[in-house]
Amino acid sequence: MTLPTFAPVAAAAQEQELSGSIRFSWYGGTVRNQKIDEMVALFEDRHPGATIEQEPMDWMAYWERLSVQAAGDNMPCLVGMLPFNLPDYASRNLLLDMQPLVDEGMIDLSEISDSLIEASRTRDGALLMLPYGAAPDTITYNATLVEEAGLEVPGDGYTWDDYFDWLASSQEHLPNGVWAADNPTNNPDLLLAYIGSHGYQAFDDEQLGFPRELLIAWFQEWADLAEMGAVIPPDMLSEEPGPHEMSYFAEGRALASNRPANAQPALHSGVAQSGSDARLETLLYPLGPEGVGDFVPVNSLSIAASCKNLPLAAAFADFFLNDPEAAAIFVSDNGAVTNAALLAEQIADPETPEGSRILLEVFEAVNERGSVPQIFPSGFQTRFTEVHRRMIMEVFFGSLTPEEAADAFFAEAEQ
Amino acid sequence: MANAEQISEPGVAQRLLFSRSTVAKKLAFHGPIVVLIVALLYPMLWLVGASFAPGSSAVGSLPILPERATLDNYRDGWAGVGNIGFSTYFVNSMAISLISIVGNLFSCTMAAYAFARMEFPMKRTLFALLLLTILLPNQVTVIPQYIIFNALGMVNTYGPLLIPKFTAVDAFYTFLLVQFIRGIPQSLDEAARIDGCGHARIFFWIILPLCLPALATTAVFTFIYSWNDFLGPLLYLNSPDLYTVPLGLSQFMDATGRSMIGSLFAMSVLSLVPLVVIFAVAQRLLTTGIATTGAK
Repeated sequence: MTLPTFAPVAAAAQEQELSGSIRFSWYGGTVRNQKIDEMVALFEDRHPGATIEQEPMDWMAYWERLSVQAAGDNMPCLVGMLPFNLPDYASRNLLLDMQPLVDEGMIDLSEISDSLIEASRTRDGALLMLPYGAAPDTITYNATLVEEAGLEVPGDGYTWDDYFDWLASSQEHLPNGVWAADNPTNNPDLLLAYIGSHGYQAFDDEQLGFPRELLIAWFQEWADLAEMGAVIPPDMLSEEPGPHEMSYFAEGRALASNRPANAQPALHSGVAQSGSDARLETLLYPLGPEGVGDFVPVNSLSIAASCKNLPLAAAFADFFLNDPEAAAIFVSDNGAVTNAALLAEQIADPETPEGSRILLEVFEAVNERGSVPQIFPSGFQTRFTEVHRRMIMEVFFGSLTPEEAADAFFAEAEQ
Repeated sequence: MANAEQISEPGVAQRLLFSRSTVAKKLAFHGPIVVLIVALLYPMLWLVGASFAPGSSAVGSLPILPERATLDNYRDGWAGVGNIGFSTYFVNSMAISLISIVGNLFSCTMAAYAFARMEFPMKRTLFALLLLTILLPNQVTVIPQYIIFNALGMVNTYGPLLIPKFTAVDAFYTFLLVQFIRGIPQSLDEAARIDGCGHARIFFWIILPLCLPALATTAVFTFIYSWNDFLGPLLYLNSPDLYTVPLGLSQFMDATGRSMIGSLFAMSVLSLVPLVVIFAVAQRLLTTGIATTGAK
């Protein structure tokens, strides 16, 4: 008897008896932990012999704990992972290549787009992450400010030049105490998109993968904007609180900001808190000479190389990625669901909250437009994200010229 | 009567004059201090006010009193996550802090007595080593310590947080007690020795009762540090039902999703209560303990 063709391959694996326990650790707060608690209960109901020990922790503390657990050879079986952090673990052989599990049908990736799966592989093709929640970036802009100032918004297929021109020309129409742009280093994605859309990779193994001139041009664009007063002043930027809810942008003091699409709910509640009724809209990132440059960070699951209970780890990971009931509980709480069938379902569902819907639609559009996978070296956060953040401030404060900032960036990133 | 009034008048006038200038002096002295205290207490009062404001509406507003007071933040925060209420974290934190106090009082006093009153080989070197551990940054020892406790199978238990307290690893308190014991006259020990006491009885009957201020200092600081400790519990406690208050509080913040800032404020206020109570109760002993040991 053959299985019907539409049955997921993983069903075969699901039918075998699962037993024992695994530890599962992820980053998140109360809202997400509550949802995962429900998902685990659902999974344990279906597999009475299996236990998932939950180890949630807030984002910053999560990475602190995971690095010590890894050093102490006590990693949980299943861990939350991101492309930016993956190299630090992959380079020490701490994670399992899950391709064999996929080949055996224990994990089903058939509903996840190839580009996301390719982006989850290391240089030598090992599959160390299972992408479950995509967090593409957008230019989020304050539509109310745009209308009040009588501005135009760049149309589809706009370029980096169009974007910088738009910021520059908008400034004179904005009220006092409102700026066109905020901090372009909220996350590394804007610069990654700039590099990608010029046809380069951020890193080529341990060296930077793009020419110095490109970085000078980038710093120059921002220096020019800052000089004409189109960027929030650097002394204010250095005091900006971290959470999206409390950002200057949410307070209505910036026209446009690059933010992860999954920050939409937080931004909306921030706008409401500041007592304004501003409407927020999103734009996909600008295009460069080589077209699309977006890098899509995807929240993923990894299995530790030291994991002793692979059948259970694989079964729970598969459930986390593909199970409709689980997805109905989670509702894309950490990035847009990557399973195409579930994504379509959640977009069509009238119950889906507004903030989540924006995220899902952005992800659908980005997925359609394509993205540029990146492979990062270990220490990416300190060698790229942090250096970028420092150098742009130096440029804004006028203590370094764009050329000097680019030189310093290269020197620090290529140690 | 009139006479009496006449006689007393200059006195009254003098007294009035005197008290006026005293009031002026007191105002000049206390006025600025009160203003300063209000300025210092403002963030604290703001936190208390914000904890009663609906949701996170207080964020970004300056007034202390919310426009509309509600207990929702306390209710939601106390309910916690899943089947684990915030009371669990309080019980865990309280147990860890109290056992830590017992451990530190037990081990640090004995170590301090040995260094202050006994003669043994390498005493000076060992004391110098003990003081050196105060200078050792935490980051250096974190991973080796974790590996040891993991090998002992103690991760995800309270062992790594409590066992060290019974081995006098908090060198600061040992040092504080050594300084204090050195200040107690040797003649008391000698008198006790002539009466036939050994080290044990001298320690328990003579030294410990006289060390009360230093013991209080040790107890209060141990409580504050273990109550506020984040890194230790973060590394060694993995299951949410073992979490302490600081770990519980961090659950309300989510850099990658929605934060429950209102509940964070409410539970932060509650978590400050034991600290404030302890400090109020032990304040007098604390200042004596610190002033007399030179640990400033």
